[in-house]
Amino acid sequence: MMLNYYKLVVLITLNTKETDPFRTQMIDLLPRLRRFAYTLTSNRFDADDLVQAACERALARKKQFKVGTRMDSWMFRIIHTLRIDASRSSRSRTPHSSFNEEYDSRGAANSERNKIEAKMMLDNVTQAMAQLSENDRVVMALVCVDGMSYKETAETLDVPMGTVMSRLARARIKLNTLVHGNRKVKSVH
Amino acid sequence: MIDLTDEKLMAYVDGELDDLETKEVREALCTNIEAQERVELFRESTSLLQGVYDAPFHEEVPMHLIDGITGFKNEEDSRLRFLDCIVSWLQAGSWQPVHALAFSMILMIGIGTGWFAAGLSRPELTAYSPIFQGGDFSLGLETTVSGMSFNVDGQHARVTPISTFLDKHGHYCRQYEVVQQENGSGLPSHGVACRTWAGDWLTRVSVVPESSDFASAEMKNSYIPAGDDELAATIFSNLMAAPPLTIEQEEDVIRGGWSSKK
Repeated sequence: MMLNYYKLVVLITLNTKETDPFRTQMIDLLPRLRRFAYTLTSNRFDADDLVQAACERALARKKQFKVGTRMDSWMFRIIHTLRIDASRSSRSRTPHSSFNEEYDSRGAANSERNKIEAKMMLDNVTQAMAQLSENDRVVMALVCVDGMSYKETAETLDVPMGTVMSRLARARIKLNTLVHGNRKVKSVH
Repeated sequence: MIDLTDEKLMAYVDGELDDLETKEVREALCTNIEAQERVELFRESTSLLQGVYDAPFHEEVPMHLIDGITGFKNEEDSRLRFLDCIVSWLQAGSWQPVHALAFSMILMIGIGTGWFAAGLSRPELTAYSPIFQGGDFSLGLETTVSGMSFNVDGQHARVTPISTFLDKHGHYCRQYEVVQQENGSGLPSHGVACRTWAGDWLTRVSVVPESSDFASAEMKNSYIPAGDDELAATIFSNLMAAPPLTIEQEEDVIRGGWSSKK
């Protein structure tokens, strides 16, 4: 009887290893992670490399993940850290390489003229983003592209909310300056 | 009068203000052209960025990223799978009720000399492992029926054979339980030793309870067979080619000096 009980426990232990909610949750996050990484790198290949590296790091450090906390924030933070590491070693590719075909194929640019304009805007934005600091890019990626709130962004980056707001305002103004020139940028205060 | 700073206008655009502040900003904007342009600037930055960077969110995720996650082999996971195999096997191979402690046995697999040593034996294994072989241990396994205990004086241990079986090479093997008398922890370790043609008993596998005094932190670190699914598979495919002997069969074999398979 006792033996049967333990055998049952062993079977349950073995069977529960088949599904891993941690990995499932990570896979569900991939679209957001890829978009986030792309916003930071402006390069499709670097973005996917970054996501892959982040997932591997997260899986290897699974024990550090606290149950009940947000995996998206954790993964964004890992990507951000890896990105900073990569930028220190200058291994990243140049922005806006051949990935543009993906963008051009989206329905928005349906006429030849629109395609040219879209391509120019794409190049302008990616070049402008490349001139921002990594800290500026990351708040833009989280708030403007991913749609996180200021509070969520502050928690993700472990900085005060005021810091997020000041970085974000500064980054947006700079982006507009770089994309459009100075015509739109006059300081309110 | 509300102060229309960049941060305030940006928060208005991003929907970060409460209802009252939103109303105040909206009213103030009616008469402030410069602030209206600023609002437009913040709105445009969002739409620009979304227009450029949103595409990956709507695409099919490349398969290699998904495969990378599902196929990732974590050292910890491998260790747990290995533990499951060992615990399951030790229990399945026993004809006696098995200790609840089996479930806390982890981390240490000591490989005895000879059988599975290739690529696996490391100097630190012999330094710390409670691997038993030769001397009192061999004599005890040679002469003691399962369920009875004998002492291994040199190692201050009491060993109890649990079951006897044949491996695929025709060697007799015995699963045993060990209680170290010196540390007095009372937590048994388990092992499997097999008989050589020369009549010595060498430990092939030794599993030690996690909380045992055997297992200092240093030992745990040096013993973890990271990612060794193959090791587990090798052990199980080589061990236990047939069901354990009955008590009567075991007694016959002992009386016959283990000679039938020599």
